[in-house]
Amino acid sequence: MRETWQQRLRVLENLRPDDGLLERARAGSNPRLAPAPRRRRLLAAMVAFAVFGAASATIAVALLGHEPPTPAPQHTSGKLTGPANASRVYRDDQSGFAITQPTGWYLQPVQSGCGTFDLIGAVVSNIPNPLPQDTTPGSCTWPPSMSTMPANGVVILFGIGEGGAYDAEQTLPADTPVPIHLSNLHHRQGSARYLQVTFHHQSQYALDVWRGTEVSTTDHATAEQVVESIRPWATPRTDQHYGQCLAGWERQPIPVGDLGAGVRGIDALSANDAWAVGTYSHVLGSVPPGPNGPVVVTAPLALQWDGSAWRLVSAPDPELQTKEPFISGGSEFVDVAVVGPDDVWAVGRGGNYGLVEHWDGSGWSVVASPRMNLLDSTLEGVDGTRPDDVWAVGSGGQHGEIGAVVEHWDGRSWALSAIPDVGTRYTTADAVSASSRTDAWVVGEQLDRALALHWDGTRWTSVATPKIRAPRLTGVVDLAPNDAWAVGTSYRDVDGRGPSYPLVEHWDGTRWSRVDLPSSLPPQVSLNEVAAAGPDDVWVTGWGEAADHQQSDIVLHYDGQSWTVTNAPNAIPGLSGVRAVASAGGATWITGSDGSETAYRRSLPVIASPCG
Amino acid sequence: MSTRTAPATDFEALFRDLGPVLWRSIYAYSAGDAEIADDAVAESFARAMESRKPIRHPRPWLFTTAFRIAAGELRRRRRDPPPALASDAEIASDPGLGGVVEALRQLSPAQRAAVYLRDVADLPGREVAALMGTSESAVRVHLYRARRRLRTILGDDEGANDDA
Repeated sequence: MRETWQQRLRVLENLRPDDGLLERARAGSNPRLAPAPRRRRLLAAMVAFAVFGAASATIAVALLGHEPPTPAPQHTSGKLTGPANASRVYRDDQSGFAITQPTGWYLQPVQSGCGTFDLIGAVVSNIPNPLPQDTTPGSCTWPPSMSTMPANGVVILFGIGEGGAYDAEQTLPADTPVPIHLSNLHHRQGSARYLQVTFHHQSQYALDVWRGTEVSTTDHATAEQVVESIRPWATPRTDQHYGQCLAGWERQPIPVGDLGAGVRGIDALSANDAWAVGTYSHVLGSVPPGPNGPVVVTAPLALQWDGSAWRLVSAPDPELQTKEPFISGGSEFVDVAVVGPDDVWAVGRGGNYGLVEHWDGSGWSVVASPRMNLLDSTLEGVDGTRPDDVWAVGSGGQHGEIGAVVEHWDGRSWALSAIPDVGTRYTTADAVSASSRTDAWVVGEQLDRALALHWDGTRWTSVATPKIRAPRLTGVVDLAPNDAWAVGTSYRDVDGRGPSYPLVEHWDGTRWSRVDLPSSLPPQVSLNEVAAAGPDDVWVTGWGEAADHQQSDIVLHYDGQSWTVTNAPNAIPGLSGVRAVASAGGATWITGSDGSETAYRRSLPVIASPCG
Repeated sequence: MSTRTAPATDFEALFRDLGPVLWRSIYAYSAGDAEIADDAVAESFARAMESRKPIRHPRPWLFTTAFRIAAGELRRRRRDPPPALASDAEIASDPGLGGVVEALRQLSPAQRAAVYLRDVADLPGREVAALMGTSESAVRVHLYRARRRLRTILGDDEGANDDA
């Protein structure tokens, strides 16, 4: 049933836009409403792609309604010559345009187009046969869907087109690190003939077009130049620096492909047994490639550390749909708890429900957990002390409600655990940690206070935390009944806007108290997570913002005596956003992102350990 | 699939389908500024019509574009002194649109848009995120804050004592 406020909001549904707005739109763009800068436009496009790119049921619409009428297309023709096993040449018969196959690359002729547009030319690529098979006139197959491009492929199209033209330059911001300095060559609006360079890479793409009244002999050199300038992007990322000790941190290789991934949670049993979880994109091998190539979906990510390397372990995705036209994945892991070598739990979300999976030493499987007929629920944290004592926490809610959820595994099944009524409907539980069967903590946020719930073996009770403005606790580690740490952030206002201040609180068996942190921290700090190998080895991650708005990652360490700000692993090139941390048996891992997300490259996770 | 020469977009059909929800989203986003809603809707359609770059997903494109235009207009208007906020009692005494708009004014623009799209237009969280050009988790935070505030201001059937 809808609540009063929701019913009242429905008055908005009585409003209707004036039909005249469409006429106003047809009259053209209004200069008073200045267009957003280019960079913003690209971001908007990327957001749309990020959301829909993985689905194969994409809808493509070209807005040619306002193109001036174009002459009926006339095909040119081209030929590929030369031995199959050596450098070959593609030559356009009509214009004389030619491109030579660079060493180590492939050259594939393309003939495509439909409606008012035709294209003939060739594709240069560092992968064999990158184009969909059906490239006959009328098939409308170029460019192929971004989401289906091979992970490591670079595809460059050199085509001579006739008919409806579009201006794709604006898909790239001025500071794009792709060498597209050729973009403005011979650019002439409205010309019916042009040479197009289309650049595909890592399931993202950038387009560039230049046009002229006709293709000239200098085009050959231009094309070769483009191939050469893009060559660096055809090779694996060069910024990985595996195995090097950089300012105290070493990056470990993670075998997740190149389509984009993120690690959210990490936990360790010993220096030789750790798990990291999150989400990643991959080619769905079980579904035959569609007309646009292989199908890419996102899936829960599980990585196992055996003491020497991270290994990708497949985990089922209950959200996976493999029937056209709705092929999609979408489940994600958020946190992991290593209870034993053959007893690992991962939690997160699948669709609108919390997701729980278990590793039994040979494989991951979905384990039923309370569904509660709730929408919008996510499990954010998991921790366990024994095979029959595991906690999972998060939030769930129906329309208008979000409340903390605490679930317990007793060795046989997951069940909701009753928590005290602390205004629970607007409470979120962010983390859980247990030291024994009779000692566990859940932290989070409730209204204007922090949430701290304690388990004594029988029931959960709400425990007061220091009175601080708009606090949110996001991490907790429970070492003993008289030794627990909680970390989080205090905001200036309840909306989470304005400056943020770090919160580290300690439980001494009687009360929570806020501890002083080193004065060398930047003026604004937000803390994420906490992990401990023992009472004298506690790690905290977060980020800070200096007075000049420079942002940096923060890693704090407690040695049993005092807190120090340690070097964050920022010496690893590109690393941004340290997040989860785990520490056990003398080993510590911190996760982050390689921050390499661009229009044609997805971000990959980083896991780094102290070294040197 | 072509991104180049699919049939020309039927803007009339698009306006019929999306127009009302798009307009109301911006109306909510701007806390009841019909002029901003008119501007943003007309302008986003105008830019879509003028774009010769293929727009693969007109729905999120139009929404994110309109939200951006509205954000610019809101920024522009921030130079004017803001009118005083109505008291909770005043809002409670106006059961119509006026009371709802006053309540919306106490939220941030993103919170308003999220709560409209999710709780009034009944769209799934994933889609709300796509239309607002943000992440699902950000939407959840917006919703959480917005619902909490609206419940206080506009009332809650199940008794408001427990989270006051």
